[in-house]
Amino acid sequence: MRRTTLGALFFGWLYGVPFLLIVGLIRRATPPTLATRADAEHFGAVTDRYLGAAMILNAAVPLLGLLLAALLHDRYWRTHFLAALAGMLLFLAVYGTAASQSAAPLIGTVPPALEPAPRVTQCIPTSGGRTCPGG
Amino acid sequence: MTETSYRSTALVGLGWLVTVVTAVTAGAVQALGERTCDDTTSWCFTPGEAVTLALALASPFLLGMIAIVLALAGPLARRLPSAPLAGTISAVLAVPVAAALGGLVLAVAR
Repeated sequence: MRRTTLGALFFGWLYGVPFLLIVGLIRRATPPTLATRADAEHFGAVTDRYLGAAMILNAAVPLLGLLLAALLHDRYWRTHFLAALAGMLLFLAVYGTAASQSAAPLIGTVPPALEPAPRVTQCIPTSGGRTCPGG
Repeated sequence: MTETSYRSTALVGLGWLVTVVTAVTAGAVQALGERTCDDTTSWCFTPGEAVTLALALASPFLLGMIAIVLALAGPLARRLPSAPLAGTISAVLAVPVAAALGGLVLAVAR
């Protein structure tokens, strides 16, 4: 019973974190052409959730598993969760490489939308700087 | 658990292939968006059709990857103490092995 729980935790980390990371990075790197800014914001928010969940689970699951395995005196899974800490660093390195390659931050970027951004159409004079035509 | 079984090593390795293929497919489907071909005059792929076509084109490569993982799982299971470790390494090693075999096939076939 407890072996199954620890195994589920371990394999959930081993396969779940790369899954979330790959989906999130693909979504971040190649966003679709979105019509409205609300759609773009929603797409960006879901991508943030993918990447955030990947990074939180990446850190939390090996530590939790290590704790559980130590409490249950399970040597097999304790060594595996210790190795998972090294894997955690590898996943972090993948994330860090992606973050350094991308111009915008990975979490918190809103993809562009077809809807034009609001522009300032009125001339606003600044004191000592810009003057407006006609006074 | 001193003896690493071939079966669990191979399963871990195949699990990596399934995970990566599923994740790339899911990411591609979501990143392609909801395009329809209703208003196009010439030929056009919907995202679903494009992903299906890509998977069909990739299937020989994926079958090769499965075969390489199964072949590497044996020697790695005998040498390494842990099935998750041996399976993961067999999946990682399958990538350069597949690239080398593909390059060989291309070099011979040219």
